[in-house]
Amino acid sequence: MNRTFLVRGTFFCLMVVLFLASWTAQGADSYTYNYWLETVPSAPAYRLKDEINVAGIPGVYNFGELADIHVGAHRVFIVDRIGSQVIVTDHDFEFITRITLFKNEDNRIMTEGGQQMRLTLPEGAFEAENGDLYIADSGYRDAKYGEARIAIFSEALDARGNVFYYVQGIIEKPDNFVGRTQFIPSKLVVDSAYRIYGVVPGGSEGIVVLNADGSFSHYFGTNRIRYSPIEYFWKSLATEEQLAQMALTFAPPFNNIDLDENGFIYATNSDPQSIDKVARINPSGENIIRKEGYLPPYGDLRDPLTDEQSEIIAVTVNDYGMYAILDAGKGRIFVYNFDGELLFVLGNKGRARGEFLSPNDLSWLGDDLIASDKNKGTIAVYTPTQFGQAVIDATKAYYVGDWDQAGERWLLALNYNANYDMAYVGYGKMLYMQDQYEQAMQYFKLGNARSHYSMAYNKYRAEFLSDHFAFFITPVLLLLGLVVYSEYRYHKKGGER
Amino acid sequence: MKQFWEKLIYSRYVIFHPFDGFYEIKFRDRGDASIATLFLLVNGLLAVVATQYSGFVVNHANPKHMNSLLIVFYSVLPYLIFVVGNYSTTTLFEGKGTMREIYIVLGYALVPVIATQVMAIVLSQFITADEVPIYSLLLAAGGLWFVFLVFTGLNTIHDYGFLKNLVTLAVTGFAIGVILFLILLAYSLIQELVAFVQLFTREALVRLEGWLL
Repeated sequence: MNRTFLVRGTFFCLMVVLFLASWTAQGADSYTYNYWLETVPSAPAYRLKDEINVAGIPGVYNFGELADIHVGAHRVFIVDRIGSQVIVTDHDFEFITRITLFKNEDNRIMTEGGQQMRLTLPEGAFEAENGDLYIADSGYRDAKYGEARIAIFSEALDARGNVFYYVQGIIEKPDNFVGRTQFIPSKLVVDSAYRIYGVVPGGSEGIVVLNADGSFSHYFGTNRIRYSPIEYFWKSLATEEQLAQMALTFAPPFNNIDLDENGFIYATNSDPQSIDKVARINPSGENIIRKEGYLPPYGDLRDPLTDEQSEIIAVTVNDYGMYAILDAGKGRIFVYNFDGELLFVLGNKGRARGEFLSPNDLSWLGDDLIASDKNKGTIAVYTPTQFGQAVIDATKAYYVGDWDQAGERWLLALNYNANYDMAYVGYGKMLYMQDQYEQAMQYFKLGNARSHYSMAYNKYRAEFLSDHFAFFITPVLLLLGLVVYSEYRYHKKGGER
Repeated sequence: MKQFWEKLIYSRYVIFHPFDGFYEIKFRDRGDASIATLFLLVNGLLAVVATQYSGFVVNHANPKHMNSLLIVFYSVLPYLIFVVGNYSTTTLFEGKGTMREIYIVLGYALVPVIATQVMAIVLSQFITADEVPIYSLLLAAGGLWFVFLVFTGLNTIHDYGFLKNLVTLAVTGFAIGVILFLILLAYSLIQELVAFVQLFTREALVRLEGWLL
């Protein structure tokens, strides 16, 4: 009697454990690419921590449609386009306030021509270094040009100690603005010199750069496109008149933008013609994104037959050069390190919790990744698993030059995922720095890193040669001696053998 | 057996003196098709060895999809197609060589390829990425030597001049294209036929089952 109870109890416990295991194993179909560009299964690097229904956050009302999320130093800014508001929460998504009406420093509503001033279909928000909030008021149309504006808000406390945001400045279309691009910024970032970089939908001239005083500075960072050889051939044959009649090829416009700690701009585009889906643009407007991975950072492997490719619509970068891009087509998030090597793939399309219907923006929140979904009206919060955390820690340690720490973390990551080439290479790098060339070679080999292997082998070979110098030099000396001896004998006999 | 050995040794003379060597083979029976076959097979085996045992730095093969039989097949087949293509061309261009002789020329010409391949496999164990050009140069040297031997060999056995040999080689290229096209055609036809028979038998079996049960 007692024994059957024990057996049944154990069995029941086992079932519960199994159930829990299968329940927590969300995203178990994660993958990475190997050296031969095959997809290999990977341990999930992120798991769903929470899915926040924005309309359900206490304090939020009149919620319309998610357009953008931005994580500031202490705040999360959720841009609600249809509701014409920006919802401000803290990092735990506890409601703080909402910005919709323009208020002055005394918490009075500002008016313009007898009308209350308010946000109109805003599409982007960015917190500058001094804490000011820049909002792209994309739906507003000014009287002079009929184009949009950027509003700058500052945080303050009202008499009752509640947080509110007052308008510190409004930037309308500058009078010295040039080009055919309309001044309707949708996403924006502000660098440490308070220059504003605005992305304009359909703006093929590049990113609009405004000076801190709101005057127009220049266009910045145009995209390169792929040429089809046939098109190139016909265009080279065509006369001037024919060329004038042909459709012009425009540079693909950027669709999203972020700023890294060094002031470099990360910008994405989803044009099928463009070469780079995500660009890291230096101050002179050149794309300097690193492409050390098996694939360039453009999401999934391009299908050579159908030319099907990932539709990259958002990017976010953290202080360690790790950036994530969002594929709206398949609802996947690709996380890369500074070198452009693919770290993780997470997320997929669907209606279940944490899956995406129409993802449109993502952001780092510490090591967590948050992604907004337009149609679901939710923000999914993904948090690293133990494997993911090991990789993230290793990447961070490597970024700041802490080789030993990085190596240890990579070894830990290998315990969770033996398919992970980067971890072998990372551990190999540590061994290499510790002058353990033979083991380093072994790990580089496992990680399919030929250039690193070759580097380690070079050292190993030099070491081997100097250790066994006598072994290699003896035959050479013997041969030399033989030659000298025979010459000597030859000459001693006066030229006769 | 002794004769076979002598002929095998003679290949050394042939690769350094191709005009003379191939002449001797054609008119004085100093070479043999069986030796050419030997070289062809050794070359196929070496291709397998190269994919499996080349040094890591130069070896990009995916071990998961390694198929040694296919590698041998794909390394031998092009030469055979070339032999057929060249013979069918040169008969039309008054070439004096027989199919057997073309085969022998090709087989003997592979000797430097085999030699450099062996050296390259050994060398590849001890090189770094910076030294890969040396490895590539070695293989390229073997390849060039092969081309030179084939060219002079065909010159000799067909009794051609330089230009005529070039022309026949170009036409051979065309002939190879036609052969490949026909092979592909036959292959897809056979595939469809097999699929039809399979479908037919399955359908018949299902109906038979229906009647019986």
